[in-house]
Amino acid sequence: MKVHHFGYLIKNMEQAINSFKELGYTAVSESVYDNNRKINICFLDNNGTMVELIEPVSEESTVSGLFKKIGVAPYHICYIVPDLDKAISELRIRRYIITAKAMEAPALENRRVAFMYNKNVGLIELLEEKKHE
Amino acid sequence: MNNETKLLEICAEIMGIDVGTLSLETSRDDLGEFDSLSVIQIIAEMEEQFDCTISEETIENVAINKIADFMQLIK
Repeated sequence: MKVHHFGYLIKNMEQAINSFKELGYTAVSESVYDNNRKINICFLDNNGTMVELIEPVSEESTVSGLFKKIGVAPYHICYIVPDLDKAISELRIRRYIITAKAMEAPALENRRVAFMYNKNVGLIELLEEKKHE
Repeated sequence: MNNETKLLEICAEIMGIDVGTLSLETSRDDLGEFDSLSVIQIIAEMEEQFDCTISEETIENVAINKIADFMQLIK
């Protein structure tokens, strides 16, 4: 599977963007609010390596518990898949557990994403590809 | 080793605590380590150690508030 981005939990979006820019990253999106997950998201690129900054904005955020546990840290890798439902089915056979069912991601042109966990790999995100990817 | 003992050992390992401090009645309110990430990790380990597949429907329908609740996933 091709890697699309690395997901980073961060505490403050503005400050994190500035710090990543100092490392050579360029913002490639505006900060977008995802109401489903109660997070702000911004994508940055560094010569083809994309990071997704994820800022929990309330206690109801899907990652607020994780943030309390691990703080500012990378916590998932996102892979592009041609067919999300098929990929989920195949990974279930390989003992990946769905932690977040397929849903549209506002920060990714409303393409469908899902999150899965495997004891040897950790948390991954699956992103359904666009036709031209 | 019976399934309940095996479950307690899984929980202790995932949460990083002594198995002697856990019982089937230990609840999420009792332990800060018993969080949503731990629940996912425990379910993943249960699938492997009990050699089973736990469906999404089962996971969604079983509320995990205490360790004993995990046993409903493999009934």
